[in-house]
Amino acid sequence: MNVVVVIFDAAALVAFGSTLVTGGLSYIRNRRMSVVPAVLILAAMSIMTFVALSNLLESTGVSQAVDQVEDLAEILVFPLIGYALYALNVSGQMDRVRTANNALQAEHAMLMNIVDTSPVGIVVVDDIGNATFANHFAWELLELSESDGPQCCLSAGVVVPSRAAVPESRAVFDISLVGRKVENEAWDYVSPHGRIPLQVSSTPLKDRDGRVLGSVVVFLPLAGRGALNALGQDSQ
Amino acid sequence: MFQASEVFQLALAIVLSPLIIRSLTQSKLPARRNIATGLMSLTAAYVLTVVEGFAAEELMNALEHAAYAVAGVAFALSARTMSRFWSRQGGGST
Repeated sequence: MNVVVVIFDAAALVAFGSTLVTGGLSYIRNRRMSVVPAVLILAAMSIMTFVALSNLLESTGVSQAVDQVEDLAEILVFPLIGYALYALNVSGQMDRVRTANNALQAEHAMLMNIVDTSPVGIVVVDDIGNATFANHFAWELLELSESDGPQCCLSAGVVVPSRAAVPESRAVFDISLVGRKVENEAWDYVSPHGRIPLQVSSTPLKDRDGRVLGSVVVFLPLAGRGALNALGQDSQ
Repeated sequence: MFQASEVFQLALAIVLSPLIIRSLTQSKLPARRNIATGLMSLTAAYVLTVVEGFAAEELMNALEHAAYAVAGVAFALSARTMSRFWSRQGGGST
């Protein structure tokens, strides 16, 4: 019997056994790891404990009965650990994606609250002047209603450059606005109930190739609140 | 002489070790170095198992069993480190 080898085998048995017990208890207490990688890692450590026990039995001359089984079982150790680490990485990536998605949704909700409570009209228009998004203020002022089509809303009127004629198109915004940088221009909202003067600013939306997708339009009514209310009463 | 299963497990270890080490470096496990040490020691043990069939049988056998012991200690340390880390961190998953 080689005493040095026996000491090494005894140390390996204690160490792998300790790994198995510590890892198992830690998993049961904390549940910090997904079940699949935990089971795979514990299986690998069980095999290594069995290998260390078999080695100790062999080196002390007690038995060589499980030597063949031990050799075969040991083949599984690297694939088990490899798959466990792969599963851990995948679950970690999924956690990170979930966290990022939650943060994105929270940010989106906050921005929507800001846009919806803003005291100016904010509308996103497509490349032909249809409104694809409107905040609460714009919805009220432009008398928007929900649309069944790809655009978000229909309007009883149309927003055109000040003193311009009303186009035949049923888009909410005149096409001349789309894709153009506009700063504080005088435009009018023209509806069957009258004409509301607006101060309009607009920024074009473009794709990576520079093609115009639409515009973000921000506007304020130039008439006072009293005049707007009177216009609303007239329409009723 | 060496056995077929010993050569097979050595081949698996040599093929999978780089992939496993790469996974380890990308993971956020708190005991990555100890796990890597354990895996390298196991690979060394497999190499020595095959080599002992050709030369210096007693020495290689002793070194093989020493490598198993080192691997066991490394894995035990990693389990202890992770257990302590997770106890401090509380709930959630890694």
